[in-house]
Amino acid sequence: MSEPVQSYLDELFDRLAGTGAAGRRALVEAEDHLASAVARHRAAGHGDEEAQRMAVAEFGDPARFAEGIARAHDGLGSLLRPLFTGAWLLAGIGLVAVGVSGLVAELFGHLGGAHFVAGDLPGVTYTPQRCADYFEYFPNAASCAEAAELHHWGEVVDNRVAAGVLGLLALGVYALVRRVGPLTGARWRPAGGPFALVTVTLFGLAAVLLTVPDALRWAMHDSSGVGANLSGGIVAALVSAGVGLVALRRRARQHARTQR
Amino acid sequence: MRGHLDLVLLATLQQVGPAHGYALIVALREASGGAFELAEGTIYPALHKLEREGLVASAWSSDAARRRRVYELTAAGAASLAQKRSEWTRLVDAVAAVLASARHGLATNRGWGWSAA
Repeated sequence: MSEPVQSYLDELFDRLAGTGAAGRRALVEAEDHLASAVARHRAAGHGDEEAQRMAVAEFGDPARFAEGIARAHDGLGSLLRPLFTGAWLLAGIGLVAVGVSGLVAELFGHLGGAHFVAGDLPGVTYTPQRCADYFEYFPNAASCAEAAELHHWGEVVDNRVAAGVLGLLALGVYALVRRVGPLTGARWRPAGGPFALVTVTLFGLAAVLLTVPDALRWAMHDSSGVGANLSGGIVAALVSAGVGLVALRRRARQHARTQR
Repeated sequence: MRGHLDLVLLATLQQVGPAHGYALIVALREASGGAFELAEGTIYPALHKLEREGLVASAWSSDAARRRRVYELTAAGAASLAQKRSEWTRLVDAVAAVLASARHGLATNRGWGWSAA
């Protein structure tokens, strides 16, 4: 058998990894089915490659086939395992994104000043005691408000970067348990399509909610604290777009493989 | 088709007797006049599930040039098919009755419309 069917079976083999005897049996059944379908199309007058392409197209999505086989033999576990690893991965990516937004907030602070990242809304005042605390940290500040902004800017950056470090740790442990154990194999692989859809949607929503209100406020010449949410919104938009692009490219590669 | 694949597979197995997956698809296509838009691979997870439920049994066939898994209906599968078929017939009859009633109502309403005009 030449390319389209062979490529399809190769992908099926990868996707059925971890399903044991059920997967081996399903792979043999798929190979037999495709061979029969190719023979029928060739008997109908189609060339070998075209017959293979038709057989593969009629057989359907390999991911859905593999998921169906896993679910038929594993019940609820086949749904919960990828859900668990998907949630773990999503949480890790989310925390790293928060960390990166902290670095962007640091940059914004240098470009636009602490007021841009950590400025209070109009009407916020501090007690003399709090002002004294802030001046203790920033004795060169020109006013209590400026000392507070410098203090809050540091908090925004430090807390977010700490979350990012936690996220990197979560992703590192994730990579370890997926490669070495105990969560190795295709059974624990997050479902690519749904994972991408959830990630793109969540980060896309976060981008809109974080960016639009503060961008409007900035457009009305009120820039106090705008950089805090804008930094988060920009990073969320980049994550959403990046995950979406990767998912689309992966989809296109799969499509190309079955067309070969 | 989704939700009724089990019923259709059990009925086809009863009709054709022991068969491998590709033969089932061919029989299904012929019996339905090609009406079902079904990714052919979807029958295998369904067959595996039916086997785990004890409604079909399978074994490797040794009389073919290739190894083939041949499925056949079990007694429990035949009983399940009879029950599902009865439920399906009741559903189809009920839907047909509703559609017939709606068609009758439409004709009557049109009659009123014309007489009012």
